[in-house]
Amino acid sequence: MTRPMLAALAALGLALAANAPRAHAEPPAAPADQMRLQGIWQLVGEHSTIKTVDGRLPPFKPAAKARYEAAVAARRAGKPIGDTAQKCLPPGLPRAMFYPQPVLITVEPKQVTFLHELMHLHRMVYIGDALPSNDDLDQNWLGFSAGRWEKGDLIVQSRGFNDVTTIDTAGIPHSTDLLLTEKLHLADKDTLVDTITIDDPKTFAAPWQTRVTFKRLPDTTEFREYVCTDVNPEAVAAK
Amino acid sequence: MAASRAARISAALAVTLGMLAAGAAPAATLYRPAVSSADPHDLSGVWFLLHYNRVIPTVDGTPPPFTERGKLEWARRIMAEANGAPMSDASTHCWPHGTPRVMNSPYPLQIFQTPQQTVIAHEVAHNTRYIHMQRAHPAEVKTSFMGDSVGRWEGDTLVIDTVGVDPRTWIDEQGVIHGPKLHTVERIRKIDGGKAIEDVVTVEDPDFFTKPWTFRDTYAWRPDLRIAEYVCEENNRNAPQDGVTVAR
Repeated sequence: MTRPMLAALAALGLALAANAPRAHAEPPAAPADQMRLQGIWQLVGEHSTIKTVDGRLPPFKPAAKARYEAAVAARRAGKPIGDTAQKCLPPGLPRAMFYPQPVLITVEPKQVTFLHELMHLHRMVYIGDALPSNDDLDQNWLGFSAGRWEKGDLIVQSRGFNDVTTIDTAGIPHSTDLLLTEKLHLADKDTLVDTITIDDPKTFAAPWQTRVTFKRLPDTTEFREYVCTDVNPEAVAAK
Repeated sequence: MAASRAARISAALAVTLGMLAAGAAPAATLYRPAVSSADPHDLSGVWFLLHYNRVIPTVDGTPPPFTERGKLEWARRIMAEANGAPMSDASTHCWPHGTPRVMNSPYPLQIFQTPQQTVIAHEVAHNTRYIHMQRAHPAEVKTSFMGDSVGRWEGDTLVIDTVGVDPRTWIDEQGVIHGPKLHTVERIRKIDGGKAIEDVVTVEDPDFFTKPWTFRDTYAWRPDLRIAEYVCEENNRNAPQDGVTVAR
């Protein structure tokens, strides 16, 4: 028997052994302080116009400021522009977090998942993943989210966004360079605070922060079936 | 030199063959354990339909036991498609595909379990099923695309009972349809040592079928997959070809 054949047989044996039935190691459940994030949450207050944590407009660059002001004026005139959600396309991030429909957050060791009633969107946060560069990501509506736990807070970084969504309903624009960093902190067991840092050097002169709060709803809360294209036939016709 | 290069190639080939024989993708990143949890009640993770077929076969391989009306509607849809003018179902409009049809999609799904709910998040059009584990159907069920689903464990089998499914959804992609009386019972359990699950679905609708009938789908455990974004409303950038999702 030749040496290559022996090596091949040995490797085949190893491959078969790796697939043989064996004792199965259970993945550990997420620790209790992380499991506190699991539940059904609802945004507190109305957040169609997002401001910084100091209550100001974001530090727009001039072209972005002009786009924002045009969007605000168009909405005031009753003819909003550039609002993908009106066409039943996903609102993107962070805007999906600014809706009143409840969100079920599930916590697993390697994945935290946001199951939104809104448009039945699901947003996956992969725990322990390194955040890929934009070159390695598709441009998606909800981007790609990588998370890590820091003393019971969930830190989520997201990028890989398309540039057709806006940051809020009013019309804060962004580019495909948008990088979001969220800190999800439980102020108490029923109060979730999401502090969001918005970094997009093509749109803003500096990174800026905004903050929203969610209240826990009873675990027995049930979602309605949210079908944007069915309740809003005009949006479908306008496609 | 030449011999050792040949050895490396042979070894790589053997590893690949070994993995293919076991049904695993070569050199894939695993996001979850290679086998699903040993707990039969833990269905959490990503699964992918095996043997996709746009025409759902009954377990005995025959067409469903149609009533006259069911048969007529089925034939109408087959003829319309043959004539190049297919009739549309809910999925054509980017509405949720409905129960049980969404379970027969050539895209992965991910199961989440909380004490209250079993959630099935489908890649296809981000359809999401909520199966209520702690209650029965309400006396008055409000019609929805996915219907009202309640679940309970019978031994190692998750039994899901669904009513109230919007008649704009179909049962398969060819033309088996249903009315407001549709009632499905799904029996989901792990098979093949946790490498797969089966869903045995009994379909009942006296307006369209003379008696209940059953089909069976199976799904492979896929620790190498994550659910991708699929937005029907922007049209399909990622259509399956020959039943296989491309551009992943």
